[in-house]
Amino acid sequence: MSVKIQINCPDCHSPIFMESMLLLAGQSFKCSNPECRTAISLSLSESEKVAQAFNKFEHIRENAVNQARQVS
Amino acid sequence: MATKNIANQFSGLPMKALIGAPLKAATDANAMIAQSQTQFIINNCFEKISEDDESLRPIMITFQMERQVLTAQGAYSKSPVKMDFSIPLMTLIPINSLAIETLKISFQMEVKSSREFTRETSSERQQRSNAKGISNNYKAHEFDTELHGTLSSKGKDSGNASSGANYEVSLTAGQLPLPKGMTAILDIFTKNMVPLPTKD
Ligand SMILES: [Zn+2]
Repeated sequence: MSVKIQINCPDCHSPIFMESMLLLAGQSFKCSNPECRTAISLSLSESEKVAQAFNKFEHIRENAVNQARQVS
Repeated sequence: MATKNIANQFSGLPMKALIGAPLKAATDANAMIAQSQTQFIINNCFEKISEDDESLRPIMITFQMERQVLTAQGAYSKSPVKMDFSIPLMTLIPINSLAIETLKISFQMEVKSSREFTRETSSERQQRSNAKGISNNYKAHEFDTELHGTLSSKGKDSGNASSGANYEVSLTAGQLPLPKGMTAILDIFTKNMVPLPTKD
């Protein structure tokens, strides 16, 4: 599952909105500030490390959803 | 008076268990989620500084940044400037997305008191009178008379008396924002991002 991620632009500190799957696929994301012409992308060498973290987090998320279902 | 009696019927109900139990279950679930998140952050977003040292440092992830810069002529350069910058892995994890956001307990209870009654009455009276001769004056013509009479009455009373009461309890538990400490850490990381020229 793709999750939405938001980090601040290293140049102007405006938010940059990303999606985990696209980020892992190597896509670059533009800064939300139209005045700022900055785009960022994940370094290729980091993809595996980030993918692992996302997978583990997804596992926790699934557990959380199951917990919530049991409550309701 | 009737409503008061109805309300009294609620007093014996285990409201604490009915409303409190799901709320407690949600809180417990949230606590468990928070605990697994903390464990996740420690185990996956931090690394030991050295084998001998128990101190942890955040795992950093390198990003590439491309920026178009203005040339001396006032136009944007054709080839963008490339730089690297690092951010902690934990800033990429949507930590606050894990929580039970809303819990709504809609609890409706209806107590209806109803009373129905029917009353039937019936009576019958029968009279029979025999007279040998209507009047003594007519003794000359003696005859027998016989009188029959029936009086009957039938009555039916019916009614329905009912009263009811409705109780609805609605609880909403909202999601808490990120803890201040967490926000502060993320803020420090963000403010200290320094882009460096990409190594080719
Ligand atoms: Zn920017």
